[in-house]
Amino acid sequence: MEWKHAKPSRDAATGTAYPATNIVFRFAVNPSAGIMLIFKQSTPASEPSRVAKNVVPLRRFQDVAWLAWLKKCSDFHVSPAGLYYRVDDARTLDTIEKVTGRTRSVGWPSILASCSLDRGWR
Amino acid sequence: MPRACRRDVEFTGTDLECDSTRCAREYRSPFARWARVLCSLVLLTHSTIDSSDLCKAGSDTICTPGWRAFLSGTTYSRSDRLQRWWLGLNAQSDRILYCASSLHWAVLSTMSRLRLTARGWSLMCVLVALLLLLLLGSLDAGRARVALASWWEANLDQAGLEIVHFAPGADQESRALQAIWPGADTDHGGKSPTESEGGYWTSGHAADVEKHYQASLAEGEKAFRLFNHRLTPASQSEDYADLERYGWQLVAQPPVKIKKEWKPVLRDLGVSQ
Repeated sequence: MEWKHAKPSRDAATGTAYPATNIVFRFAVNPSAGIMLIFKQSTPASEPSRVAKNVVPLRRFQDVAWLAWLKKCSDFHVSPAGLYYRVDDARTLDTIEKVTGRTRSVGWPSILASCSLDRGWR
Repeated sequence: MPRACRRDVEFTGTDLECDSTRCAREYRSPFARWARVLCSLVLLTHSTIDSSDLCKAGSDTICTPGWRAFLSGTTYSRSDRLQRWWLGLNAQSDRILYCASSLHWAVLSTMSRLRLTARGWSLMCVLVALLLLLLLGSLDAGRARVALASWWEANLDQAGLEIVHFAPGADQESRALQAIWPGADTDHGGKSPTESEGGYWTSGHAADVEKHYQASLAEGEKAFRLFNHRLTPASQSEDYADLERYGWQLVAQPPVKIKKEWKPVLRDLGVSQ
């Protein structure tokens, strides 16, 4: 699925206006198999040129992907706790690099697979 | 070949394809053989077990890499409370695990490479018999669990086994994250993914849990997984409607096309497109 922050919004409580950032997240989930495939993971924070003055609170990949995961799990009547695997095609965030490096250093098992995507995926 | 074996090979080795020789060798462990026999017996006789996907029917703990065989199911105690339980063994790290999640306790035993004395194996026979009785519903589930736990404490540790009790809790989860990655954001937003399943994370015994987490690769993975869910959340929203409210649009939901390089990875993860 492809989520785009395409519309401006306004916080009803504070009145703060948030312009559209046009950030796009592409990922796929399979609740039954407990897997999330992540095709593009960028955030306004990682792309300063796109950062608006007032950045919408719901802006990070984890925020969007988590809500989408909850919804899909609800649709499929499976527990959201069953997210066993996430497969990234790129690790563009420093924080992810840090945590994967740390977990590898303490023996957390993982694999690195060389792969690429079809251009046709959108 | 058991699916759990494939998962383990995929995670712990560099080969994406399951090595049948390696799996067979590890299954030659006496205890693993016993567990497989027990598993087969229960599958044949216990109708409440979801034999199509034991992993999902049990606890996600048992679905972590390294667990070679496991049982899970639900039984009703005399008070008609639903009791979820699961049993697993990790031949690689020589651990066996029995847990009744609804009571928030579990018994985890680390065996010293399964080199038990004759007395140890005789005790194991008694354990298997007790488990069979429990699984077949001949005993009240709750009472049998308590009896089993007492028996473990009284006997198995004398046979050279380490007994650790644990009941994961939100605070313990946070500490586990810190142990894995100091400085990690441990704010779960007040709601863990498993809370909807009856507050599984709500209480525990801190010292034992911490010890268990630091020692257990399986729990470390669980903690990492949970952490990975909400790595750096800017929002604590659990409301799907917030996506639209904050200007997000689902602009495309096409079928996923995946190149052939991905397919071995997904196949080893047990995903069929």
